[in-house]
Amino acid sequence: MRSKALSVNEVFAKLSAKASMCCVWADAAREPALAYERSASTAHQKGLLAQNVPSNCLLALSCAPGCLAPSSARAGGADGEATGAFARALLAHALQPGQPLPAALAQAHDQLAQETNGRQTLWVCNTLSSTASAQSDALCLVPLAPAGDGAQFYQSPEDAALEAAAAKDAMSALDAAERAASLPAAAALLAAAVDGPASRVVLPRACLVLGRIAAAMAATSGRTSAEATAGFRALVAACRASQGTTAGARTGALELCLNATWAMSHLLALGGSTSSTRQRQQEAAVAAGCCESALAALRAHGAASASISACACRVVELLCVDSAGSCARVRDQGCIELLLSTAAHHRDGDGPACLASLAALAVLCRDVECRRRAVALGVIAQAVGCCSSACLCGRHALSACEALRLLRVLCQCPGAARAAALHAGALAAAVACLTAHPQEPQLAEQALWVVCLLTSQPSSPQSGDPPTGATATAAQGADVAAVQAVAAALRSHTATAAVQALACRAMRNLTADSRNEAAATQLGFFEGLVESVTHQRAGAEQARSMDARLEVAARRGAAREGGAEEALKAALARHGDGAGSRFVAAAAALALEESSIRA
Amino acid sequence: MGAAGSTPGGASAHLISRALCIGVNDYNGVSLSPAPAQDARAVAEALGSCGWDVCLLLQPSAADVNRALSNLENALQTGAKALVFFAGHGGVLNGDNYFIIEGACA
Repeated sequence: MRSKALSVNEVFAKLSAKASMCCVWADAAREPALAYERSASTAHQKGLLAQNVPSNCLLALSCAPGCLAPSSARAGGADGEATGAFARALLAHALQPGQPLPAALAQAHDQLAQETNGRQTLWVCNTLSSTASAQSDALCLVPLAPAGDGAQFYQSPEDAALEAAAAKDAMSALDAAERAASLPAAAALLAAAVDGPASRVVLPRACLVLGRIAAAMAATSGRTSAEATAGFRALVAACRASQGTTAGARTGALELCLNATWAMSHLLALGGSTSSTRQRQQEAAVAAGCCESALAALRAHGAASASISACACRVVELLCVDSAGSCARVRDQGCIELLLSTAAHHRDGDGPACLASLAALAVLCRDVECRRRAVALGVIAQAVGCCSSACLCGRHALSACEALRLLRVLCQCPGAARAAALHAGALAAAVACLTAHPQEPQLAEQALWVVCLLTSQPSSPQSGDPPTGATATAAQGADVAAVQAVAAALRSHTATAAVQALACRAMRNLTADSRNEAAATQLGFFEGLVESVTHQRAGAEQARSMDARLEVAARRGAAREGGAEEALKAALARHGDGAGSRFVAAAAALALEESSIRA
Repeated sequence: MGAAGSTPGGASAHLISRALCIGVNDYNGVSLSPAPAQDARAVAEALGSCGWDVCLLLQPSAADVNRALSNLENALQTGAKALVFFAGHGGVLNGDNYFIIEGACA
């Protein structure tokens, strides 16, 4: 039977490792009709069995374990529906935008029981609620969508006709603006729609068009802040409209808020990566009131919508990159508290809100006052907790990566944050992340940064200098697990120069403690390093990686091995003229010298 | 953190929800009534209209199903949502639940 059947456990095993939510809906409990079905099941066995599912999974059976779906239920309702009662009940409830799946299935259960006069009971095994907030989009098959929230809005037929006529003209104009990729035209239409007769219908669409145009412009050439200023003003007005108190304003508020913050993030991104253009874009946005709008969106809808949270956090991030003024402005309006609350609310999983809030916190924490307040409010514990949960479940590498990036920012800056991070277990968390996610190069890079910074000289954490003498205490705090994790990272990410260099720097710091050095020797780390150096085809861009490798190899006298000696000589020849890295040349010379002394 | 997505679905837009819907009507000449394929198609269409990426298999072979499941596993991004819907016959073997894809009648 196995070769012609699909095991439910196999489905979960294959999909649950990656999925934030893995569901199986089974309408498969019918009278046994097949030869092997009869022989395989015990004499009294009917239907499917009750079973457990992995975390973040849900199994819904069309009837209770050990029972069979009655044929009349399969035959559809009185109106002769084409679909069975189970599928009808699921489709009626589970795909409602913003409806958490467990609640939807409870309603589907009631509908099914009603339709079948209690003969068919929807059975669910659910491990979703233990890892996701009941209010979060993470539990919804369809996140809060544009048109789902207008049920309580009443409009007379006359008003509806007027609105439709006005909307028709505005929509045509918006289409034309989008075709022409005209940001000023779209901004003008959006501004006009705020107080227009069809604002309820036109505003969300106008935000969408503005955002699309900005996204397309960013992908091509980018523009100046002058074109964006009117757009920022109009989007801020749209955000305010989404927080209005009339029935018309409340209707579609989520859609409008989402579209406006999303468009705002794309308009801000038009500043590009150049510091001066980005600064002009930030100034235009701040002057228009984007800080206040983003924070208001977070306050109003942060808990209800992960998508709005993600967009608002992204706006905060873009507003505050390299801008002390914006950092101070949002800090004074409670931004740190809001971001921490958003990160906590959407914590489990690699959801957009979790990632965006951690990224925004990382940007804000570069500012000394923001960092001070964030540390006082528990940002370190939150980041360490995020790493720990990602390690426990073996998934959510993206959120762990963002949390590590945040820890890196905190550890890089002089002051109390680094000591607090060490005290809060950030080193152990980074090592655990390295171990739990061995195949993620970006995560490995951030984790190794944290290890480097927390095992380096406290006086110069940014350089990651190795600890010496009494300052080697941080390295002593790291156990053999750290040595193993760093050695494994070096082996796993041979193609990633940054990881190679950081792994060497981390090991250099760790082996300041003799116990760690013994552990590294036992693991064959230094031999691996020599092998790596031998095969390295180092160019100038990889000199940084070579520096650390050769330095470690030299300290260990590993150049005695023939192949390594050749590699070191080659490195010396390549970099001895100063065109590459003087450190490479110096390290290679040192290694060769040690090698000759020992020989 | 990358850009906030290419649609206001927000940053989640880059995480595509994926589903596999399977309907098996006929087990070597014995048809189930009404057709489970109708259910599979209805669920697939509904999910598709909500932005899900759906693979619909009607009367597939076991090899088709295994291939589709592997494709789903490979295409699924970390953190995305996944759903498998099956309508047809099920059974129990050695304490495990199975969806029967192909089979001969007694």
